[in-house]
Amino acid sequence: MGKQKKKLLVALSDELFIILFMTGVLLVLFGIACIAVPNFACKSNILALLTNNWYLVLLGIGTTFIVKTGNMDMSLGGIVAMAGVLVAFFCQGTDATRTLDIGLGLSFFPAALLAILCCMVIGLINAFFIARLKVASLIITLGTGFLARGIAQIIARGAQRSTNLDDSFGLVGKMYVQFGNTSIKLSVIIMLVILIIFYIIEKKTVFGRTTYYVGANAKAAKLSGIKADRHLGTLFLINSVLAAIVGIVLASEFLAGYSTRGKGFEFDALCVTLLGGTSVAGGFGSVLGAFIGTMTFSIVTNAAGGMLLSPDWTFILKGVVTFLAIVAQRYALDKRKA
Amino acid sequence: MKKESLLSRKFDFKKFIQKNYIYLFFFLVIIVFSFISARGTTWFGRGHFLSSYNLVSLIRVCSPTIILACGFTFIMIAGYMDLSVGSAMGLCGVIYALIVRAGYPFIVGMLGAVGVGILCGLINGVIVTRLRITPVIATLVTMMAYRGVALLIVPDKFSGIKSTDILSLPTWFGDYSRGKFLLGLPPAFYVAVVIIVIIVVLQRKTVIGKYSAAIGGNSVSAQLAGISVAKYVSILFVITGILAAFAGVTQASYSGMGDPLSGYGMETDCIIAVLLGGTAFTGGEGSTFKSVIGAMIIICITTGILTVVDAYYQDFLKGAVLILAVTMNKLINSKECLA
Amino acid sequence: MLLFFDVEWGEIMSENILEIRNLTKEYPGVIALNDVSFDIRKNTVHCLVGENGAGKSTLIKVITGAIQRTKGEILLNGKEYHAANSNEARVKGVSTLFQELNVVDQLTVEENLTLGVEETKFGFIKNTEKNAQVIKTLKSLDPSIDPKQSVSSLCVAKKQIVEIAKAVSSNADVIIMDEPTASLSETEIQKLFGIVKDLRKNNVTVIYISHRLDEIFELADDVTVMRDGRHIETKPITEVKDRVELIRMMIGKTIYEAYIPPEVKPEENILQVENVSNKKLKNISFNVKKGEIVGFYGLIGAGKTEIARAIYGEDPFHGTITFEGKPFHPTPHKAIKAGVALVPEERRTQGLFTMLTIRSNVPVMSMNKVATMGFLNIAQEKAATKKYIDALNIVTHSMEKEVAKLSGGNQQKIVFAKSLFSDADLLMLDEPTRGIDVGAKSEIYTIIRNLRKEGKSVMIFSSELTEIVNMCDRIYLLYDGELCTCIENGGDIDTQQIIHIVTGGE
Repeated sequence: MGKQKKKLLVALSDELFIILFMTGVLLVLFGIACIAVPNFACKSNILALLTNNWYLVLLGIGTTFIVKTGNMDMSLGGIVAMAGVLVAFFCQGTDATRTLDIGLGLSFFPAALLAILCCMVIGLINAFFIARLKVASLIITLGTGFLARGIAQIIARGAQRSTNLDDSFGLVGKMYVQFGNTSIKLSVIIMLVILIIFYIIEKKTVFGRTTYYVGANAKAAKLSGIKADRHLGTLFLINSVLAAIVGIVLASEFLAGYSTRGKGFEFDALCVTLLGGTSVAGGFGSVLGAFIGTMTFSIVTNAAGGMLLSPDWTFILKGVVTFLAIVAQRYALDKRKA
Repeated sequence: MKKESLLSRKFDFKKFIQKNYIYLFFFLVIIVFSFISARGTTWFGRGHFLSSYNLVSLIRVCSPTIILACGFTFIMIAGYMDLSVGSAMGLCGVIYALIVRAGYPFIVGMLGAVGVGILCGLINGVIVTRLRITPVIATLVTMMAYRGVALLIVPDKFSGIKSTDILSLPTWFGDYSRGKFLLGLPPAFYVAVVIIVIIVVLQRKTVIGKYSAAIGGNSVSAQLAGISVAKYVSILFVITGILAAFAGVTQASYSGMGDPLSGYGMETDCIIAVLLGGTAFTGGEGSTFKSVIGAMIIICITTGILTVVDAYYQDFLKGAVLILAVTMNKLINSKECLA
Repeated sequence: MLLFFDVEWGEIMSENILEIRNLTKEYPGVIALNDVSFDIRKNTVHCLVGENGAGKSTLIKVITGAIQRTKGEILLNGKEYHAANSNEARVKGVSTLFQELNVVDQLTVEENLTLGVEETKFGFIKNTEKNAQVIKTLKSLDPSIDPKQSVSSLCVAKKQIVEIAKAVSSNADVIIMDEPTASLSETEIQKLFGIVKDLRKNNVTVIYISHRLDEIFELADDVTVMRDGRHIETKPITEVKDRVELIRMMIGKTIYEAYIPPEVKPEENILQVENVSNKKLKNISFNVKKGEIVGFYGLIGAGKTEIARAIYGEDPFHGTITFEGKPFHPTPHKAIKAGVALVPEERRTQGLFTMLTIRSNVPVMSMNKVATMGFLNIAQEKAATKKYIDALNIVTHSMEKEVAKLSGGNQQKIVFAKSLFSDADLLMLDEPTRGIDVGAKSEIYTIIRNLRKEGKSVMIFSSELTEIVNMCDRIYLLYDGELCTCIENGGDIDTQQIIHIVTGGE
């Protein structure tokens, strides 16, 4: 019996094994939280767990692709802020007296499209420096992150753009879809749709497979005729689009473009990616992991809140949990090989 | 014949620029800012950019960044990176303020901060060398953790330990970074100078400096030569931790409070400084002194620009300077390959 | 008198500095060292010769502690010797000059010379007598090197000299030199020989490995010949008559009858290379015909891999390459599209995605064949993988197994499958059978012959003479980046002549 079990375990691919492992961690944590934290297991709280961090799943999807190639994107937070401020700016009416009230007067969807295009410029800068000039991704994206947030701050004058907006601005962010007697935010649906699309891209397309190749062995990929640099550039471009979508939907939900929105999102995205079992060294990982990682992340932060810990604890918790995730992952993989 | 000599002279010129561009750049920044501040409202309110008041202010503001940039260069030469410097600095500043608030003298507070700095460095070193986790990820994690600890141990949460608290800080608290010790400059400045000298000596005259360059240049050779890479990398992390402690004390003293959020984004400033200083990101070589100049440039630009524009232009400028620094660093280092 | 005799007698007792007894090193599927026993006399220059893959490097690695032996023992000065790493070996008195350069470019010459052995006071580096000694050694080797100069500004040969100076000045009892002259000029070589002779005078034993047989006759006191991981013979060089005898000992009585000529004589040219030169290659010109197996043989560093890299667009070059009548300006991507595929030298680092499954590895070179509109057709992919697993006889219970978990031979077959799947007309195989067992080897040979039957062309770059002679219809010999000769294989190849040429003989 034991032997059979071991055989079954060996038959799994490493990636699936790690995802199952992380799911196990998630369930154990959930169990502990249910017992230890009062009112944790109630229905509304569980629903909140599943839906509140929808934006982290979206950012985690892009980050998973990037981390899989052994890179990092620290410009996410900046792009989120920039997209939010820009879309608000584009939607504000043209007739106002205060500078912060005057916008371009576009309707929401063209404005959103334009904002995404602007954010893609940041993604293009990332792509150019990483793919062409071979600059370490950590450094250049740190720079473009500041650049993007700087643009957001300049447009919002260091504050926010929230006045002179149409009601239609909040449509996407505030819409709920009714399922039986539970209503779910449209943004969560968007998240799920994008998650499925990216899961398909990851597993069923040449593009997704190429990401694995580049991450597993960039040298062999090049010798096998894959344009690894161009692929890497594309990934950073896609990541900027995902971050822009998050920024726009968040702006719509809060009816404002805050220039300080998304501070630290890049760390959180990295956290959920690592919690989802994506290897820091590159090579394997799945967007499903990003979803599972986000759930673990939610449970930890939610449970900390439920136990009436001060919000200051979140920093340490995030750090410790991510650290444990990395160590556990390495340990589990080593154990399996031995 | 003539052509040849001309060519060789041109080549020398290129090399000169390559070696000294950072000083030229610094000079340029000072000239530009002295013109800007001559016209409009001046930096820090009073006098010309090059007035003694402003220079003293610049030095006061610069000190923590300069100290950190030294450590950052050191560890970068070995091909490693420590992103947790800013958080460690914040934590050490808080520790210092807590100790002083409890009624102990300055030196005890300083020692306590340095002790915590060493601990921070050791933790980084152990995670990187023993658990073999990529330095960037490892220090990113400790960056969050140290910041978290700093936030937790501050009694009144986000506000920090101010001198206006009931348990107020002694009046001399700020003297270290604000008082006039010699030539109107605070003790912190002289400590920073001593630190720079010590780091340069460490790098040029001791095995630590030589081995760090060897590890960054070719870690296989270093290992073959019998150097314990793990040991020396840990030592480098500890040195960085100690410097973070000094920076933290300086900053806490300057701002007059133990602010758990101080040093936020400091790692970016350090990266810019080191990049401007021309240290190769692959490791192996670099100049501490040039990084110090780089640190002064970034402070001049991000703080000095406030004379002409509003504060919310700062982030944009920081990003732009970083991208500029990356490009310049790339150009400098690629030219070196051709020569 | 009696006392004198005693001393003499004592010296005779410890006449051998190193005694190697029944040393064996096994890798899964391959025995790299097979029960090797011989002695190395004190204060001699002991040369180690043998073909590539004879086991010399493995032996050296065991002695320096880079790898650990399977069984057997080594006695150093009559005592059991064991080193966990090269540093421990050095402390025990065995210093090594490795084949790869191990200098730190960013440090100065002086700093490199003293790296790891500095004398210090409170961590400060002291400038001692020892440093002066090291610099003196360096100056005697090459006075033109300035100790204060950065190593990055030196050429490869001078870097090598710095390393030699470092190894020589380490006060070792034994110095191992692994191909030290590979990148040195004639005058530098002469200087090195002077140093080696001085070392012998100063009671140092030198173990010298070289493919250049002339050097061996000039330097050696004793010579040990190895072949196929076995010790063949150790004898004083005075007892070796000439080059020919040495070569005969090296290649032994291997029977070269396995060569099978092609059924159809190849006629049409597929690849034409004219005057290709770059950093490593000098005026290379050759051609490959359709349905032909062409071999490239030379020592390590002779430029085999570089030819493959140039054709594949990995290295820049001058000259023209024509493929199927059209000029060819390759990148790996374009080369594969045109119908050229490379099986690289290092399968783990250059050929395979070891973390991924077999199924994901096979189609990488032409993804379009298993995809429509960018979407993968998993069924097609599985079918293709199945086909190659069967055709190449890859041993695995599932195609969903990670490649890392397969044996070396099976891994190499997957690299083959990858290249075959791209439908290439010309396959370049760089060391196609390195480090795999005999069974897998012969299977790979069958695959190559079948390719020829299908009218495809194969270029084999190998440092294994048996392989080249058994497989190739034509053989190009390389020495130091130049093509020396082309030999038509009629089944009666003079292997001694080949060794003679590739070791630098006229």
